[in-house]
Amino acid sequence: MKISLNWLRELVELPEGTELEAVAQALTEQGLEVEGSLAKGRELAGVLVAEVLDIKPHPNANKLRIVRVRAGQRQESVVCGASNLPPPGNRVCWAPPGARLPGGHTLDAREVRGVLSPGMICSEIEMGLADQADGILILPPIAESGVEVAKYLGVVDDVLEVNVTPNRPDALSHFGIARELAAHFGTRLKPADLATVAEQASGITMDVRIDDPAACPRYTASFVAGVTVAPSPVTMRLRLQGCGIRAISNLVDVTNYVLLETGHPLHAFDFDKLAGPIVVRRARAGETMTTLDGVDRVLVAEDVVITDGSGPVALAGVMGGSTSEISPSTRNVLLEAATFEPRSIRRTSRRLGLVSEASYRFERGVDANSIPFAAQRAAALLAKLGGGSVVAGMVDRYPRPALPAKVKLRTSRLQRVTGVDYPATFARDQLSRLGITCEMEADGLCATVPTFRPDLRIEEDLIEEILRMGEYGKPAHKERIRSNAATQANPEAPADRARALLASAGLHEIVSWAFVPRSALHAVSADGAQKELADGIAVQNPISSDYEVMRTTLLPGLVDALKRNLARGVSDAWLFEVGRVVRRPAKPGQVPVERAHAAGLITGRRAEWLKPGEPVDFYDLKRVVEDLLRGFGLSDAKYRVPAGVSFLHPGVSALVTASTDAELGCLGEIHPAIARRLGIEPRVFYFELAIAPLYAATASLRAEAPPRFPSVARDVSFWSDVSLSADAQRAGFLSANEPLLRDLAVLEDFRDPKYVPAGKKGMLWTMTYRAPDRTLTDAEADSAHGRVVKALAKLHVIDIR
Amino acid sequence: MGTLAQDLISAFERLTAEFSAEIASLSTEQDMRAVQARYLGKKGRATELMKALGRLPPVDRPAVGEAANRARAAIEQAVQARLGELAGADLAADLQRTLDVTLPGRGRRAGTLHPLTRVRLEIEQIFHGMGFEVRTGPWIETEWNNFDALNTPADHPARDMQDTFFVEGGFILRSHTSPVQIRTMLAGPPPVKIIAPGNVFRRDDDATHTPMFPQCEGLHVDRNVSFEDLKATLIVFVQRFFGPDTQIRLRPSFFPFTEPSAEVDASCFLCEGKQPARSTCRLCKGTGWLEIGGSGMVHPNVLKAVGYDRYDVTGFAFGMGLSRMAMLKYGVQDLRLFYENDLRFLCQFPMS
Ligand SMILES: [Zn+2]
Repeated sequence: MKISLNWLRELVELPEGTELEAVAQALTEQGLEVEGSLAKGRELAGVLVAEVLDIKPHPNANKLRIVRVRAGQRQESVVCGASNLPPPGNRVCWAPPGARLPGGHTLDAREVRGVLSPGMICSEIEMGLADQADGILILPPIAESGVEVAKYLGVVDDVLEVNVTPNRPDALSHFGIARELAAHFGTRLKPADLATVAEQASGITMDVRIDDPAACPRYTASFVAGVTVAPSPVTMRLRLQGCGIRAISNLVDVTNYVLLETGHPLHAFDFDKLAGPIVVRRARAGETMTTLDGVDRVLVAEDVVITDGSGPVALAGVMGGSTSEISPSTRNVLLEAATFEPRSIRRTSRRLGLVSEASYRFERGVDANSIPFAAQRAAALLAKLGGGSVVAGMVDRYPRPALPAKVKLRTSRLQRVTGVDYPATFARDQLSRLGITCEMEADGLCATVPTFRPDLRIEEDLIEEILRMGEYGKPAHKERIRSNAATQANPEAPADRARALLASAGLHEIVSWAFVPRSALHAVSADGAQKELADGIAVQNPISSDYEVMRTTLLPGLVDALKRNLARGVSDAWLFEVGRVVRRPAKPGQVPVERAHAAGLITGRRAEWLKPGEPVDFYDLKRVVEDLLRGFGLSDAKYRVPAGVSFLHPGVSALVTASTDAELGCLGEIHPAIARRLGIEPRVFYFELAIAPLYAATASLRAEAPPRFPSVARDVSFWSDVSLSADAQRAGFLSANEPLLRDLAVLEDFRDPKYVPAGKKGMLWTMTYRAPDRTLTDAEADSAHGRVVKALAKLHVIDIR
Repeated sequence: MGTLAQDLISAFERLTAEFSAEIASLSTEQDMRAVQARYLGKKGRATELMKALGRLPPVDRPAVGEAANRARAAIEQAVQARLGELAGADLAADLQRTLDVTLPGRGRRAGTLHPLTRVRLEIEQIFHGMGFEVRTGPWIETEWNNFDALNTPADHPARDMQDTFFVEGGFILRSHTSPVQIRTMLAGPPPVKIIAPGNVFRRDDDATHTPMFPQCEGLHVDRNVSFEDLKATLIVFVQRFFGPDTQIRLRPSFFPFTEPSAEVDASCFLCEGKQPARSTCRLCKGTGWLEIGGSGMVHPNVLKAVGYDRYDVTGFAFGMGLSRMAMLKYGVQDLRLFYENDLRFLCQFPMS
């Protein structure tokens, strides 16, 4: 909300020398955060109020005049081309040489068609006061000549941007802010100007009936007769503009002005266009009306409408109707000041997408008891600016008077919640600064809360009010913090362990959006072939199609990050993400399933030393996965083929399972067809594992002492079918159940076609033999090795080299 | 002593001198041992000399035997001395080696943790030290957990403070981590002392907002938890996170689920709130304060919603945006950098 500092100064006394910064700090400390301020009118300097002394024609131009003006002691003749030059005696705005105008323009004396003109006579546009104007700005004769125009008009102002939280409808006005400042500084509010120019004893009037008191607790109608529609005075227009409201005409501007001043939304009807009498009721379903913005609205039974016998003339609290709109011909005005039920206003405004200054305040709550004040203030201003008179006797229907709430506060509760032994009298004194009166009671006090503070209903509400006047800022007592150990494991710990392991393995962590485009899931699931990947949970109100469905895999986010890095010239990318994916529940209606996954991809070249390395391949990825698994204590994971994962190359991929066959995830090369669809050129190797089964499979760590006796190594080299996997060979060797065999590893998988028969590969294994209780002899090792090799040969065709 | 005995003694002495001369040109232990065997071995020269021992009168025998032992010892000593000499020369030669220590180390470098992970881990650690446990909850939430239980009924303007995503099945994406408070309190009786980090979602996407961002929520409910405890917890946190001179400022505010409520500001660690540095400070924009989050005493309606005795227990809650904390901590100006995943940015956050 925009608040004018000049305006505030008219409403509240402030301590001597209180400037912008002090006001902003005071409000921020009170809980009305000042988010910024805008200095207004500082660019306009040296433009003076000048009296027109006489007007003569220009010798060389028909449309120009030479105007003699006087500003204080100075008299000059200025060339002016305006068509609306006022007769002598009036005041204009003269920018003499040296004056500054917005846009950084400084005036000097210059010749206009052969006549030297010291400066110029200004319009509102030139002074930066308006976007459009008909000719120069004319000021009334009461304006003192020689005074700076900026000062006379109050152009120099600071507009504060105040963030009012939704619980504080009372602060949605200059008056409300002034009340907070008075409480903060301990100063007084200034009395409002309610003087009317003239009050007419009789004249126009119209009856009012409220059909639904729940929807409309109070409705008042004031009448102002004999007004003329005209532009508002420049000072009022400037204030409205400064607060972000466009000036329209005196009658409309007054309602907006009083709204900004008091926080009460008001509506001015053209009295002569109303059939009368006014009835406030719920709309009938299907009823229609045309609102001020020219849109035909179909109403529902929940809407509240103002009717005049002919039908709805206003959508209560949201927007007026076009039939009774103020127009240039309006002479008599019915001024509505009312309160409506917040929820109805909110629903109507949401349904129609109409959020106005009025609806914004009504849905937060408007104080019924200060309506007469706002209505009187507005009627007086209408009469003054419109040249009319207020009709005596406001029509006031108030079927459900709002009563001040009584809220009790126990001293014990105050002390318990605050942790400070405040006495009850302290509470009373703090509350009284806010206009809340208290009666002292045996165990505390009972506060009478004014109706403009609907947010104060329970003890804790009062406690905040007591603290907010200066107590929030008191220093904290650090000694209150005692460390005590937590008892339950951190649920994020397994994911964090995965993060640390993957970073150690050389990958860089990324964070990507939890929602992805549907097309991305379509692509990675091979057009939906892998249903659990394709069928993501939809976001029903996405910001854009980039965020339309919850990710079912971390692949799209990683691919996105990869592509961005490739596009920026980073070709070696080792990335990982640990985060949740969301899968469809087993049965409709159940909560979607969220699972933490760890995924990563690598592409580019291996880290060679002082020269470019070879391109990375499946086994670089597998090392990463093995490091991750080992970090969770899994050294015996299995790699199954075919993986059957839609986004992985069918021949260069595997499913990863624990030794218990629990599925952990997959790894492999991104399927070339899918890589093409995703727009990735280089070969990319990818893994994705679920954290929970990984964590569940974690074996507790058991360590052994180093062996006491040395081991003996024996190698074996043979040809085998290419299809006989290393795992199968290992299983073959192990089937010997040889107790002396302690370890075995592949040293070579040799496939050079120059030396290897077609369909074959050369394998070289090394075995480690050891006995726990003695040093093995060569003969013992040889015979054990013989048994191990024989066991493999029994199961598979191998050709020992 | 007879002549023979004297001859034998000097022969043993010569033996030592000859051996030393012979091995002086040898450079391996193996060669020296071969020579040694020719002197002291079964068929060696010393053995030959010893054969004459039988011909000596018994009285001369001990003196000659002693000479033989001296020669054996001297020969072994000569070997050891020569070996020592050789090792010294090898060592000296070896010590001549140099290399370019400014070349980079070999092998793949360790990767990095995302700044949002780092900052979360640090915050978890600080609160862990104050006895808070970590709790998490699902992203996909019910409106009841996210709003109603947190004293934010439907049709309340406070619901506008956060623009919510709806997902199919009648659920929403949580708009804050506060539902974890509700889940934790529903799961068991007080005392509760938790922090709840995690991603939250709001329909905002511009320079200063992302539709997904991480938050960390804190909750402490017990018999005598007060606003003073909240203040103390927050001051300890900011001093551990930003530095020991950091101050806090609480400002009254409004959150439906706390009463009293307060915005939390930490004093700017860059300009330390002091003029003239303050007026040009980019971090706090001249205010001397950095907004870090919201806080307050748990609203009685929230305690009621989870079935706690609102007259018996009190509690405080606080929440902060982790992206904001990471921006402050690491001097990152642009929020979007956290989600661009540019390796040239991410590489600056090594594991710690
Ligand atoms: Zn600063």
